[in-house]
Amino acid sequence: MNLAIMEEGFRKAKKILNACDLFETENYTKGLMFKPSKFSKDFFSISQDRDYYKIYKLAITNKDYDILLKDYSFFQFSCESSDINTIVKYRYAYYETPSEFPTYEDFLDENGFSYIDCGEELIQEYQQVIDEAKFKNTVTPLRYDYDEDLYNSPVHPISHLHLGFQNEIRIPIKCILTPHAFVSFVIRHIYWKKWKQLMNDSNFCSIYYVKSECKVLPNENFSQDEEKDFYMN
Amino acid sequence: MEKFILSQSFYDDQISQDLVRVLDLNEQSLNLSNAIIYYNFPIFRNIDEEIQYPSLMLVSPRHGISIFQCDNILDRDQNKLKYIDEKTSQIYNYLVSKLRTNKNLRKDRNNLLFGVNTFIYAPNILTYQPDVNTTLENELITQDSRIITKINDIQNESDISEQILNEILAVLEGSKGIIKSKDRNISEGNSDKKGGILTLLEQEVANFDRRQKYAALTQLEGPQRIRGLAGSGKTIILAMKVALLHLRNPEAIILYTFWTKSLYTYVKKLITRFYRQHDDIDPNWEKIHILHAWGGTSIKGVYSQTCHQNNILPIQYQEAKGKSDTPFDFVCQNLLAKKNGILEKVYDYVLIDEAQDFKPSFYQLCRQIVRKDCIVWGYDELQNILDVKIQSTINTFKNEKYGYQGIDLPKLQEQHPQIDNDVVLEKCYRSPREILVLAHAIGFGIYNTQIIQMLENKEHWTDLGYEVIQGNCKEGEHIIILRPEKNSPLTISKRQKPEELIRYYAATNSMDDEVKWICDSIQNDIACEKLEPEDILVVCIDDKYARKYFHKISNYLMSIGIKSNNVLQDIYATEFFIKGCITLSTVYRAKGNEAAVVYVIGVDTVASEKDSRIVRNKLFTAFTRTKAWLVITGANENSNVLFQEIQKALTNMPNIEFIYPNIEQMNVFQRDLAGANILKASVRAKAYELINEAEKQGISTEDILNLIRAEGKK
Repeated sequence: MNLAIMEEGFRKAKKILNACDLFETENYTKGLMFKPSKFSKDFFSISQDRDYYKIYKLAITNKDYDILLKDYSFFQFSCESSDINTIVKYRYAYYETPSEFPTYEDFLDENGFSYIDCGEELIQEYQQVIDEAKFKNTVTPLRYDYDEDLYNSPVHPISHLHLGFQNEIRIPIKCILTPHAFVSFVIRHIYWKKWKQLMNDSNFCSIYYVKSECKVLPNENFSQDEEKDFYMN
Repeated sequence: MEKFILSQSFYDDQISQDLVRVLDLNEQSLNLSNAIIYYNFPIFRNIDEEIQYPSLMLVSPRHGISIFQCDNILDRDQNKLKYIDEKTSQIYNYLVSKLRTNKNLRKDRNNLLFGVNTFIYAPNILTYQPDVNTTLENELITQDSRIITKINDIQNESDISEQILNEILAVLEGSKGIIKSKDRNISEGNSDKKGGILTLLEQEVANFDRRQKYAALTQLEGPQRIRGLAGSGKTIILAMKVALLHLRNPEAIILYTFWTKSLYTYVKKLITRFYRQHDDIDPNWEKIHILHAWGGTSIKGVYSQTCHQNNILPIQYQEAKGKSDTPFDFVCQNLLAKKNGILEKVYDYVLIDEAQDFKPSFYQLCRQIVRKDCIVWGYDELQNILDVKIQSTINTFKNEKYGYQGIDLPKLQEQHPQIDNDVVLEKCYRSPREILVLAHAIGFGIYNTQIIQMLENKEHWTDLGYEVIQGNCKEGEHIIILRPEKNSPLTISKRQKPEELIRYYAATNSMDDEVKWICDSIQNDIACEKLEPEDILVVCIDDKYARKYFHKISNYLMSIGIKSNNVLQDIYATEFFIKGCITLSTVYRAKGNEAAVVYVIGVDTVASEKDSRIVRNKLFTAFTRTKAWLVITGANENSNVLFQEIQKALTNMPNIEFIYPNIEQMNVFQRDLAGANILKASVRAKAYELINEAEKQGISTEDILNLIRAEGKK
């Protein structure tokens, strides 16, 4: 996979998030497209912290995201290459919002207004609702890693998915996910209700199924031992 | 001679008062008319972490700097003189070393351009008996007549130049650090570009009016109100007050509060910067609490914290909203009621910024949590969307339910006649004169088909720094009001023509055209005019399309390689500017913040609501965010409704001219309008419901519109 495919995957990721009405914005404050250095040093230094809220809040404050969703969960996408055409590391992450609060539109709706009616007028009040929001009992951030340098079969698969945080769950995947594929996976498993509904829509299905676009790993990156075990493909 | 009495303890300090009186009486003969005398200033920390300040410091063009350490020491305590002497020398050393850091103030490596003299003034020593073992380093004065001789002795033949004098004062006051001008990449040939003009402007603002600042900086043990227009420096003064209070009294617990969360970063930065002018370490944030007014589980605020401290469960927004149209007022009232009007006193000082945003209940709450009524608030009646009247402090604080007395500022002032507790800042430093006058003309609707709001009398205009040059503000009179240059002193008005400071553009019927024009202009600001992206703020007036606008602008800017920050998307809303990014905001968020160039966009929407006070106040707030340039745009020809008003305002500049309205009729009209709007809103809500319902049934909006049109024709 090269940068062009990565960019294409990012574009499609935005498209499908829009189709699910989850997309709020991409990040216009940073310039470095997929370089990991676009994220703040502070973020990486606390990204393994036990306090999920702290990580989340710092990322939001420092604008360490690529796509922000309407529920204020966010995605990060980065990759590193050895030269222009070969990417050797991918990191995609989904950080779920740790508090429970309605989207602005839902908030307006609950109060008998609509966005066409009052636009941004009640944004301060909405801010208050966010400030008062209760923390969720559990959160499930997801992270996809692909790292040629760290590959160590079968202990550390080259391509794998982390579920949750503060654990050692690392599910092997026998292909390289595109940003689009990762986002589709999140939509299905985190925004299940929306997904279920949208699966009746053929337009959505046409942009949802993405597996064929993901390159299958060659044998040298997926050993016989790994093949004998459970994995995603 | 100007006097800056920076502490109320002056009134208990008889010796210092005597000295000031002597200087006052002999002002002419001693050539002190252009001198400034400070009481208890400057403040600094010595090596032992102790706070030090001179009793009095005289800064005079003819005499240089003189320090007077005043003491009521008696004959029998003369052995204590050596301690006073030591302290005076410490102050001397501090002052000299601080002044020497500035190379403009040095004659050569070791010497300053002017003299620094020190005196110990101890008039209660009747017969001085010098100690044989120690000689005093500082000159002792025990008789009033000697003061006069001494001042005459140190008199020079000529005055220190005004420029040097200003430099001395800036160093001593630490005002150089308040507004740091940015390092801009301005080469020699570019000084006429906006970036170059802005650099000059920033240096100018750093020399902030002294009298205005000191009047407000004086700390009172009691209530104080600071009134002033947008851009008069209320936030800066409040932040400086916090820094000085903290320096003088490091153990005091201080609260700084406001409504808009986007002020957090700015306020913290200001307090730190000013504090660091006097100390080498950052302020102790355990003692200074910066909190917005409301707050909840994820971000603390004054209300949520006070509930917690008083063991009350905070009321959530949704519940409050169900009970009152002003939910924050409701929760504050409710908290007071639950505790029968008595809350735990937590703070030594409470400062409220943007206090016009609050109802009396929040003032009362703040008064309850602070000791000795030490409450200071910055107030701008013109940014209060409901009421342009001068606030009555008696009614604001009075509450018969709990036996709260009102606060009578003039009465309280009788105890300290030289220190104002109701300060008016009539000078504005943020916006150029043309823009402030324009903002007022538009805000009041002066050139609209009818005036929308009006100040009640002539004095009120004067308070705001205007001169009424024709008329007495009586109904039917032709009134001419002028903003004198001295009250909007920025010299940018001399370097830029009004049409350069204020530009406007109406797109030909499309938002895309407007967006393109804005983005191209922004690109020009950065590429040709040498401004930084964070100098530029875009404020959308059209609430209904703000998101759409910002989405389009962000995308367009990105396509030309310019980064942008849409503050609406910041869930915590505590940051405003990001380095390297254009800022996109609504009026509500932009409050309290400022930028060099402000684009006020989507003004075509004004046409349909031009008689609304809320819309007028939004325009006023948006316009006054700018430090230099204002650009106003709209998506279609409806924008011309506003542009015509702007054109009239520019024609009459710097005057505002109008026929004084009948205030009662104007208010009745506003009430009717509000009523009509409520009605309209409820009809609109019903229509919206119907449309929703119809869409669910598979009827398109177009079909519904056709149905309605057909019905209407019948």
